[in-house]
Amino acid sequence: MIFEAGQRTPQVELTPTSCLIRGECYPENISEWSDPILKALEECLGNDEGGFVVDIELYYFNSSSAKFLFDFFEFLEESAEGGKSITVNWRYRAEDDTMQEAGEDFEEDVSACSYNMVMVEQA
Amino acid sequence: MTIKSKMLLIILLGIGILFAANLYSSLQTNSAHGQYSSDESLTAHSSAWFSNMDTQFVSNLLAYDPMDGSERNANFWDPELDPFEESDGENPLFTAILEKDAETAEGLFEQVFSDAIMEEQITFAIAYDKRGLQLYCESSLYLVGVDPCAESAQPDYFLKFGSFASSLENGSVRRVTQISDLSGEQPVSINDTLAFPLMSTGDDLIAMVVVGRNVIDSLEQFSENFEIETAIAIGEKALTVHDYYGEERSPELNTLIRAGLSHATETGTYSYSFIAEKEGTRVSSIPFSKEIRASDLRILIFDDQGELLATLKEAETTAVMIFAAVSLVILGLVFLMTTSSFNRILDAIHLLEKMGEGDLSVEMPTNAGLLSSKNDEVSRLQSTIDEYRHHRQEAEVQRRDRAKRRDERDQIMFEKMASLAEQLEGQARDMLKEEISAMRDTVSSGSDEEKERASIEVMSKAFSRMSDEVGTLIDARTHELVAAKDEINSSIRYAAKLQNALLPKTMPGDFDINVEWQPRDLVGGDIYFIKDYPDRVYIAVVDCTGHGVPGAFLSIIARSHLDKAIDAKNYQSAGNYLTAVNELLKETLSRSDQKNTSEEGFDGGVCIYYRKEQKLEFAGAKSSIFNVNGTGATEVSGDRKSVGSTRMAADFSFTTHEISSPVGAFVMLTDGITDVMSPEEKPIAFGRRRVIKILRESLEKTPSTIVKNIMRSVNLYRGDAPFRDDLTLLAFSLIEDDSELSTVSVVGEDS
Repeated sequence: MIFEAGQRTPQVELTPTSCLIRGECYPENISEWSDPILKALEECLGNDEGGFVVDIELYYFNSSSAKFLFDFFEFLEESAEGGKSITVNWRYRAEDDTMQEAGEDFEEDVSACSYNMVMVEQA
Repeated sequence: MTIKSKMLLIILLGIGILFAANLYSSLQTNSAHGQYSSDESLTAHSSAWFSNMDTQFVSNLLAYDPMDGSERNANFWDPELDPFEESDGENPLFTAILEKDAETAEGLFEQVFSDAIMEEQITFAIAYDKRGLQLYCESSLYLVGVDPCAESAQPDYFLKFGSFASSLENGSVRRVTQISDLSGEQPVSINDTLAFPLMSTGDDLIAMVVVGRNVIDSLEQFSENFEIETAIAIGEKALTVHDYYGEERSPELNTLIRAGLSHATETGTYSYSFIAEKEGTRVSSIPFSKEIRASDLRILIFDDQGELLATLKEAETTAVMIFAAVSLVILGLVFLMTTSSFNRILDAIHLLEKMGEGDLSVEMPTNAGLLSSKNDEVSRLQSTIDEYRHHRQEAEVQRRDRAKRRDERDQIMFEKMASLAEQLEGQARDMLKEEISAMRDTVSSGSDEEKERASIEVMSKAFSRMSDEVGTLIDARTHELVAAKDEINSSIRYAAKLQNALLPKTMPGDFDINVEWQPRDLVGGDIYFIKDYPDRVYIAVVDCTGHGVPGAFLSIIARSHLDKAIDAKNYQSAGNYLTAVNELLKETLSRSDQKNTSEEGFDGGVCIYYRKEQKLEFAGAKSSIFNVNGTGATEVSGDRKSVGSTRMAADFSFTTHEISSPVGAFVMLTDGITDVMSPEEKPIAFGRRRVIKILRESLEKTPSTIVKNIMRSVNLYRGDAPFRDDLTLLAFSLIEDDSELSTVSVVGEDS
């Protein structure tokens, strides 16, 4: 399932075993955009396909999107606590200290999921 | 001229030319063949004739030759032998001649020749003395023509006896002798003769002997053998066997003889062969003998070729008939085929013409003509045309369908136009009504195409009419919208004025403060706050969630709480102060929204400077304070929690960061600065590291240059990209002046 990127929203690719979020995220109305994604994520996590890998590569998100990410990670945590093996890869560019710090912030809230900070090459 | 006629004419012409060529070639062949058979016939006849004559001559006449004859006979002419008594001694014949004993001489000659004459080996024998006196003459009993021994008989040599006699001086002579009848009763007799002299011992000519054989027998024999008619041509005259037997010549024979004779005079040759067409007879002329000129004497041969010619003629006729029949059949077949094909093509043309007139009902006749097949050109033409006709029929059905739909459409259009007209007033209505009736006329008359064109015209007119009306309506609506927007804008402008009024206008005297405050829209969620008390100064930079009008609302709440949370009477640490603001805000927001699922609140930092203690305290909610001094630039980060957030423990309190003896400049900012994005496809935020770097690299560390440098750098960094958020950048430093912290009147507004 693919949610194409919008001008203010990232591209989201969901499969039964993976989730990729890439781009910038600062929609006018966050819940309008995030509700369908969280619902789809719930379905994906619900089926018994074993492990689940989440790749997040964001370049910018605003504060209301941060709220969505908190919810998102909370959701993953609940699933992971339920026994699902979940890996989160927070991908950031070496020179992007803002995103690096943001990733580190989220890492603090995550324990049940395996969380990796992944530095990627400048594309 | 139709194509069919041209084709038939060409075929006819072709056959004619073929026929002519064939005829010409057959004529050539015939002529060559005729020439060949002429030569053949001449050769065959002459050799047969000459061989017959020569055989007869050798066996019958030459036997008497004194030199070449048989011994017995030759002996008769030897003066020194007596062949009669068969003893040596004088030849009595010679003696008798010399002694002019005519009687004895005749008797002796009789002994020599009588038997041969009786047996018809020779026809006659005549002896003359040297003066030409006839000594002896005996002829056959079975004579044709004049009797050589008759009184009236005159041999051709008789008139030139002298030369005849002298011709014998050298020995015997073979000659053709013609003997004519002076009485004219009997026809000339023609004889092959041997004349020889009798020579005395003294080699004197004493007598001459002529032995002859009538050639008529040979000629008869020759004619029978070859099944031909013959005639002897003597100069301009001719003799036939019939003349000797007193028979009438047949008129055909006469005609042929005349033709034969005249051919010689016409052509000047005497050895020839030609076909007398009318009589169906080959007429040939061969020399009579080698001893006489052909012009004087020759044989005409009449070979009846009637049967052969008839066969040839028949063959030729048959060939012509076959040729004609085949030509007729071909011509007939072509005629039939072209007629049938052209009739079918004519049918097709007729059908096409009818279609041109608009009549699609004419069927293609299905009767296949003679010699036609489903795959021939005409059939394919027919089927293609018929297919075309079916297509046309379908198209016609579609066209009618279209016309029907068009009429319906026009009808609807008129109804709509009419109802539009009803809504108009006065002259406009009358004009529209007139227009409608004119349009009705145009779409209901004329050809299909004209109607179609008229319909489109009507449609476009109706549309432009309607669009005019709709345009007017839209203009009205747009006007309303613009008015509404203007109203909103002016409200927001006024709100911006209000928000601006909430910002501090005067600064504490011992502080050098420089601020860049830019709401993304006219109003925003960013706000900064400076409150000066005699012993302390509060400085806050706050970024409320959201921007625009909602952000501005929140910023006013935040500002009021920042104000309310100040405990000016007691020492208040920066952490406690921020915690107090947090509690107040949470209280306010949870009151307004029981669920409080949203993340309203703010990020930001607060500073409290105690003058007496020269102590600067900082507390931050997801915010940092940067310090730049002679040793470098540093960042002090606040807590990673937002003010007003539900994501914190109930007893959470913000940390106080104490900066004793603050030196250099301090910088506080909202994420409007750090979140400025580069303009590429995968942008990177400006980030705090860049801020530190700018601070570190700034030569002059005054608040105003710091703000200027950072803003320049941010603007360069974002390029064409617009700001995404409200931004606030505040830099301050303490003015080094130990004198007195002269009370600067309270900055800001309120109580």
